[in-house]
This record gives sequence, structure tokens and C-alpha cells, in this order.
Amino acid sequence: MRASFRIAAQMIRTSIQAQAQYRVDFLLQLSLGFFWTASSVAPLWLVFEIRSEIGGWSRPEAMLVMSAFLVLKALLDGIISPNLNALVEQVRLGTFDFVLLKPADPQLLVSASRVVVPKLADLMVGLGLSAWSISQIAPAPSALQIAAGGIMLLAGALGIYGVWVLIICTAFWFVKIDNLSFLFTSIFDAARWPISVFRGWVGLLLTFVLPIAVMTSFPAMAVLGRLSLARAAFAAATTTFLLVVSRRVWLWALRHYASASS
Amino acid sequence: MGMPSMSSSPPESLAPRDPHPVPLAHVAASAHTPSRAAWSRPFYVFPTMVKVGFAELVAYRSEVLIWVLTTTMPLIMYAVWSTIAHEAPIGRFDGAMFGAYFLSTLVVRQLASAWVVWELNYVIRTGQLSSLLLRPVHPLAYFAAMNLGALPFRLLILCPIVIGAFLALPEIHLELSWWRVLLFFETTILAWLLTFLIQSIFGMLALYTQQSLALQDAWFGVWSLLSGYLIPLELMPKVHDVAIWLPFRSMNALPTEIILGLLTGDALMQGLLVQVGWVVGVVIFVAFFWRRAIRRFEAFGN
Repeated sequence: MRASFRIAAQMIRTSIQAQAQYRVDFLLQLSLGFFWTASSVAPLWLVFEIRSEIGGWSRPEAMLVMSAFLVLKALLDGIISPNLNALVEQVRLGTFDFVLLKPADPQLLVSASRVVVPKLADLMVGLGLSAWSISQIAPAPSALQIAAGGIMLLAGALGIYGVWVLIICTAFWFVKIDNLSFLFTSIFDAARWPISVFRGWVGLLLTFVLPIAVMTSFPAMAVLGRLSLARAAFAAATTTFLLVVSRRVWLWALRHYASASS
Repeated sequence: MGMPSMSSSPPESLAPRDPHPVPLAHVAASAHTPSRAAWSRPFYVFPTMVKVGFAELVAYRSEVLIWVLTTTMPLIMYAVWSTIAHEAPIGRFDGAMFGAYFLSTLVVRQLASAWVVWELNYVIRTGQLSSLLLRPVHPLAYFAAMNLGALPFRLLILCPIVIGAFLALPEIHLELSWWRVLLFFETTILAWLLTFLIQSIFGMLALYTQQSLALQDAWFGVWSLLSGYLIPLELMPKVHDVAIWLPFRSMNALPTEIILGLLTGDALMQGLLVQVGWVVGVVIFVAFFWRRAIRRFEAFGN
């Protein structure tokens, strides 16, 4: 276990060093990243200019959901998807053989080999927005509630990782799957809004079938003290389920890898 | 989208007579000087290229289907706005109006979509642009044809979506007149042209910077706010007054506002004229910028 952490830390350090060589690129990406973040926050802000409350959420409360979305999106774009998309390329070229030859868990090697540094700035922006929202909420949330929110957010991040591993595993059969990841990203876009905005069956779909509400609305609800124990348990179960199943499917998919040399 | 392999050799007239190697950019520049033959060529080559584009699309049909399905934003925004309108309508926008608005937005977005920025980026990075430059048609005409070839298929996918939306939201009511439908298609075509040309500008920026796609992303962020794609401009009075003079609305909301009957009289005239103005301006700019930018292209063969 400790060896795994050391390997992951070393790989990520190397990745950061490699990117630090391209400074102008880095700064440009950084500023464009802020631009993107601003343009995702703006619609939410503007909608609350028209109404002070939507689906039972005030502006700072909805901003809390948005901040959870920004954090998860930054993790997705900064760590999860670059790593796992690189795997797709390796499977296509057959160079995944070299990963398998290394004396460490292949899932660890493909999950933690790179990090897109400018995206981590988006992560900071997301956390900053969380802090701002929490400071604006009228009965200030207790430390316990904030901690619960943090744990739910972590669960959300692990859940997304699980979903991504599942998507990537299909590469062992279909090879070219960038479309599938685009599809997930575009569905995940719905997670920037509080779940109660989606009325009727869409809300149920986004909670239970494609559980993206669990990833962003539940952390906010935990901070606001609105998350029932049953829902928290559901979120924990969903995350555990996704992680266990994705690991299982990964191991199974690995056996179906037709390498370049075989 | 894969590029078809280059099998045929360039026509005689384009082969450099000088035995010394000539930089391709120069060949290209001379290839596009408006001699009479070169001018009329696109018009009879174009239909064939559109057919090639269509064939390529059929080959990648499941990919295109997923591409269309990734356009979820109008649906998400409809959910958000209908919840707001459920409590009380905003101005002349009630639930049904939002339904019609975002349905039309989705249709316009699908019809007026382009991906030339990614294609230009790709051919510039890989050097495949040099073989496109050797062809007797302008590379942008080629990409436009590929783009138009996708239209029938996109229309086919849109049909069930539109029918489904009308079934799910029977309260949607459109008062159609022939000139409104006509103007809807006219403005949608110009919206496509504007989208295509502006994307080509970002694509050409790949000759100057590695970050042209990131710039395009940032542009898309501004576009999504000011084009009426996420929020009807009418609902943001302060933004509206500026946005109606910018190019963004001409690229998405204008046809929608026309077909829903939101625009009449002077406002309609203003919208149409601003769109034509931007199209003309951007055409001139692209013509100028292409000649300048292409000189920076340095790949020889591929």
C-alpha cells in the first residue's frame, strides 16, 4: 500500500515537472481556465437575478452545488480523464503491454500517471466558491455539517472515478470510445444545478439511475443539514457499489486485452 | 473524423514548373489567385464533395448519433427554466414558451454546427493540410462541403426529437406563417455560415499558437451566454441591449426568436441586418486572414 502511494506520488511529480517546462502555455491555459469557470457560474448567477429562490434553493445554496460541480469537474478533467484516456491510446497502440510488465497494480499505474496542472487551479476556484457560499448561508453550518459535506464530496469524486473506469473498460473491446466519455461529460453537466430543479422522472433518473445528483447535490445538502441519513446511506452504497463493480469489471476486462504482440 | 487518403495527383496546372522545390504555401497562394477556371471550379466540385462528406458520415453513423446526443444543454436549461416558470411565468415566457424556445435552440444548434476548428487544428498539426492545399479547391470549401454532407443525417436524428417534444409538451403552440418559416431557414443558414467561418478563424490560429482549441473553448463560454443558448436574451434586459449587436445572437437565438414570433417590426429588421453585417464582415476577414496565416504553414508533404 505504501509502495503504491510512493509510486503514484513519484509519477505525478514527474508529470508536473514535464509541464512546468512550457511556461507560456501553462499561463495561457490557466487564464482560459478561469474564463471557462466564470462562464459556467454566470448562468446560475443570472438566473437568481430573476428569482431569489429556485426549487427551494437560494443563490448561495445553489452556488454550493455549483462549487461541488467545479471541484469534481476539475478532478475529472485534471486527473481522472487524462489518465484513463491515455489508457485508451495505449490499448489502441498496444503499448499497454509495457504497463502490464511493470511490477505494480496496472489500475494504479493507469490512474495516477499524470495530472493536468492548470486544472488544479480550477479546483482551487471551486473550493473558494464553496467557502464563499458557506460564508453566505444564513444559519451558519456547523463544523460537523461542513465535514459531512466534505466526505460526501469525496464519495462523489470516488463515484465519478468508478464510472470513468467502467467507461474506459469498454476500450478493451471497442477501442475507440472518446464519444462515450463525451456523452458522460455532457450528462454530468446537469450536475451543476440542484437536483430539485429537475422535476418528475428526470430528477429520479439523475438520482437513482445516473446518480450524478448524488455527487454534487448531496454534498451541498449535507452542509445545509438537509441530507437525511437514508440518503447519506444511499450515497455511500452507490459509491461503494461503483468502486467494487468497476474494480471487478477492470480485472475482467484486463483478461480480454488482446495485446499488440499476441 | 478521418481524412480520406490522397490518391490522385494534382492537376497539371498546379504542378510547379520550376524543378526547384517551391514552398507549398506559395503554391497554394498561387493556386487560389482568382483565375477564371479556379473561380468556377468550386461550384461543380462542391456537390460531389458534399456527397463524399455524406458517405463519410454514414461510415461513422454511430459516432455522429452520439455527437448529437451530447447536446444536452438545451434540455438541462429547459428543465431549469420550466421549474422557474412553474412557480410563475417570466414576462411572456411560460412553461410552453420555454419548451418551444429550447426545442428550437436545439434544432438550430444542430443545423448550424461546425467542427472545422478541430479539423483545421488536426490537419495543421499533422501536416495533412499540405495535401489539401494541392487540391484545386480551397481547403475551407472542402471542410464546408464535409460539414454540409452531415446535414441530412442530423435532420434525420432531429425528427424524432422534435416529434417527441411536441408529444411530451402538447401545450407548445406555434403560430407559423410562410415568411416566418422562410426567415427561420434563411437565418439558420447564415448562422451556420457565421459559425463555420468564425471556427475557421480559431482553426487558423493553430498556425500561430498551440492553444487555439483552448481559445475556442473560451469563446464558446462567452457564446453560450450571449447567444441565447442558455438564457433567452430577453430575460436579461441589460445584457440584451449589448448582445443584439454582437455576433453571438446571430449564431443561435435569432432563428428561434423569429419562429416563435418574438421579433416583429424594427427589432426583426435589426436582427436580420446585424446578422448579414456580421456575415459580410467575417467573410472579408477570413479571406484576408487566410492568405496571411497560410504563409506560416511550413509542412512539406506528409
